[in-house]
Amino acid sequence: MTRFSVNGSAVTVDADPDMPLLWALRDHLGLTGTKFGCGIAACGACTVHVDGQSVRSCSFSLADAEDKQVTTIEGLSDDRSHPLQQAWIAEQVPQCGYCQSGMIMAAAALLKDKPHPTDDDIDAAITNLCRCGTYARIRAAVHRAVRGA
Amino acid sequence: MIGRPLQVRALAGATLGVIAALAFVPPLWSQTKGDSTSSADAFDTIARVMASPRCQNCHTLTDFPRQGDDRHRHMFHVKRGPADDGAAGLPCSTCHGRSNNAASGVPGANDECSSRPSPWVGTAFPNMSFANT
Repeated sequence: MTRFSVNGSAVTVDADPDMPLLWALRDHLGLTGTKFGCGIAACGACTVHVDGQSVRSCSFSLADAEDKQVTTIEGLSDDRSHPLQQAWIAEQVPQCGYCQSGMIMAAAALLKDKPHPTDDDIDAAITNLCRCGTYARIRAAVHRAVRGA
Repeated sequence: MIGRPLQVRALAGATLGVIAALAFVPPLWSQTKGDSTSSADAFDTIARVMASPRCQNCHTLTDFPRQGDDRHRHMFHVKRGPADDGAAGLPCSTCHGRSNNAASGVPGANDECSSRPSPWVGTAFPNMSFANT
């Protein structure tokens, strides 16, 4: 049994402790907003926050989540009102959308550490992959979220 | 450019490195005092560990880590960052846990060790031909 918190609620998952956190979130807890992309911590589609820090959940064991606070895209806000979510909508960032929950979680981690990032900061922090090529709009949305517009 | 004085970080890196390498050294009581052969053998053991790409890929003298036995630049232009633990919002621990991850194949990294430059980087060891940077 692994006990931790997800989006503010205490949860218990009975599964192999070596199982990636991603599958605990998706298959055991039904939080399918976090996506499987590459499985090797390269694409970032599975990005969540663990104790406020970005983590690639495909490469983070369930055992390591014990007693931790996990935040997924579902927990970023109750009503999609987070400034990044609003900015994503305003800038019409997503195309297919598959990678976007990971992108937003990566952006949220960046803004926590650096509330006014430059383009270079964004490039350095958000190494997530988007096969639709939405990178320019992601940059614009991060800046829009900072402005609060 | 590397943010903090290299000497300080190199000294800290050396201390941690020696502590790690001591785990591979035979106990003192198994060596004869003044036995230069044993000392040289022990040093070779330490050198093999400290000069391994597995160690040096994180503890580079550049502002970015490296990957693989060929020590190519870390994918996605991953940065060292001002505190030697990655860029703001993307610390090394975003992808690297405390131990190797069997599911993803991502190698583990030691949080306490950070990615401070190692004074062993650039040191020439016999029979070790990879680029030291």
